[in-house]
Amino acid sequence: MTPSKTKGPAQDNHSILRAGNLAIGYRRSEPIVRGINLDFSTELTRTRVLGFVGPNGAGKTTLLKTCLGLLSPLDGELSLLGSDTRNHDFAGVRKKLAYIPQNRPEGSAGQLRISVWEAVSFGRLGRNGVTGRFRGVDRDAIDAAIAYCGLEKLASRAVQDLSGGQFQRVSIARAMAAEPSLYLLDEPGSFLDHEGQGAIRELIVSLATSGVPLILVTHDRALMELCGAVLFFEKGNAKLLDTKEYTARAEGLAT
Amino acid sequence: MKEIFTIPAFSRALLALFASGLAFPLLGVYILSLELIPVRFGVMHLSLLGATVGLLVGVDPIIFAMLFAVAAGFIVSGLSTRASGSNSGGAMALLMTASLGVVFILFYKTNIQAIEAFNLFWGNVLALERGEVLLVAIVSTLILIASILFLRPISAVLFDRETAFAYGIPATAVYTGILVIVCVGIGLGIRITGALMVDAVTLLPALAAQSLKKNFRTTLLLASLCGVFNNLMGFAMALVFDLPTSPAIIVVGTLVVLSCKLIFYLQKKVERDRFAQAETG
Repeated sequence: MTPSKTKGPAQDNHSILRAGNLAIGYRRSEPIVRGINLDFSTELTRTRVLGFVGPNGAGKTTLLKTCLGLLSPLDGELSLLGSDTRNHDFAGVRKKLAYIPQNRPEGSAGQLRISVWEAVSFGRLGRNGVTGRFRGVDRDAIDAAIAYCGLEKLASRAVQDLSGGQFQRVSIARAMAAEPSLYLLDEPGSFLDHEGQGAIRELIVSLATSGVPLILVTHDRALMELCGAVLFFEKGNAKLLDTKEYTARAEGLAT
Repeated sequence: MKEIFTIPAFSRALLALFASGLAFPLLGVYILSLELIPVRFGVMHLSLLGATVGLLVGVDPIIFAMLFAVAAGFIVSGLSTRASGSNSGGAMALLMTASLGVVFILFYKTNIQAIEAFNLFWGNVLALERGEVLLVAIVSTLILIASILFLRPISAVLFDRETAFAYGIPATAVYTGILVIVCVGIGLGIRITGALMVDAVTLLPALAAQSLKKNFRTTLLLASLCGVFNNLMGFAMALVFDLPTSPAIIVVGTLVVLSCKLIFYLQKKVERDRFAQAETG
């Protein structure tokens, strides 16, 4: 299996992410970022990857979560795959997304003994009705994603028994099993060692080259090179830049 | 001995213990997974408020106690952050204290005898009326059906609610549903075992099952089996040794938890010894 080359809104050249004077943050708090304006459409960039870059605490993950509907925009407009994130029908759009979080679940929930196969299968649940009944095509997609991410021998093992790198591969397999129209990744590999980061980087490159658009929060220079454009967060603002312009700016600051 | 079960009180008790033994431990697994342990105290207080309101309006207090327990589930779900992983402990603490304050104001200002409301908490499985047993059977059936039918979404939400939401699973509805059935189950459990011993039918079998560290589905099945065993063995012990039923169930349940922990420890020891032998060749 290679990551699905799903024909979705991206390939119809619709806007992937559009924001109009958007302010993001947490309810009853001051906005973390204000005045975000962008229209990320894959026809405008050389790749279908948009990076969120900037220092820690600048609002990158906050915007990613706002895109997913986990947070509501504090002001302005935000649409993903052509649908306003505050609309009731955005729940249908979420079924076309695949999210790879930064952290593994903590606390008691993290102790719930779910097998790797089951954890990957969660990626297919959104499209299978409220009971989550799987058909043959669902099982095939789950098995293929597990195989692609090199998890076959771990399929029946509990995710709690996995290393950080193995768990991230499970998260990526779950995303692939979903066969989404858009991937959203939050600093994959950030807590892994050098070798683990390398393995995850390879998988993300394969996602990025699959043709399915990807929004990626990252500090990783190698992954930034995959981006056709970056949204640069700094001092309460976010500005869309060409990747080369951003890396030149970053190198200039470094020297 | 068989004649005992021809006595309606005993046959009703047996049915209630069997049904709740099958289903209520599943709620215990959900309570432990979602860190809802404070919820049971909150449900007790809200059930007390419901019983008090029931007495005030002249309706069976158990009915209002159950309605308020259901409301507790919806309220806690609403007060918790919508789709994040935040737990509902703070929300339940607020409800606990607020409901207790209202209850005592009602006692002070009206003619309600406090003891009638507090009677709700002195559970006695042998004093269950036919309607209450029917309610236990119906609720237990609903818990089992819901847990089987929605097992995958439930496990996804218990594992990582935020990510489940992001993937288009109706995580808020599933979470609310879990909270509501947990609250209803605790409310009914109070009637069977008493407020202070409701853990006997919910948490103890769940703790036993989790001690064996099996996967989620197996844990639910084991929790049910432990629940039925605890309840029926505890009931039998109470009859044979003239003990109060709820404490007998608790003692049996505690021994089962300790036994499961011992079984797991011994299993791991055998595995380690086998591995060490294989290494040394």
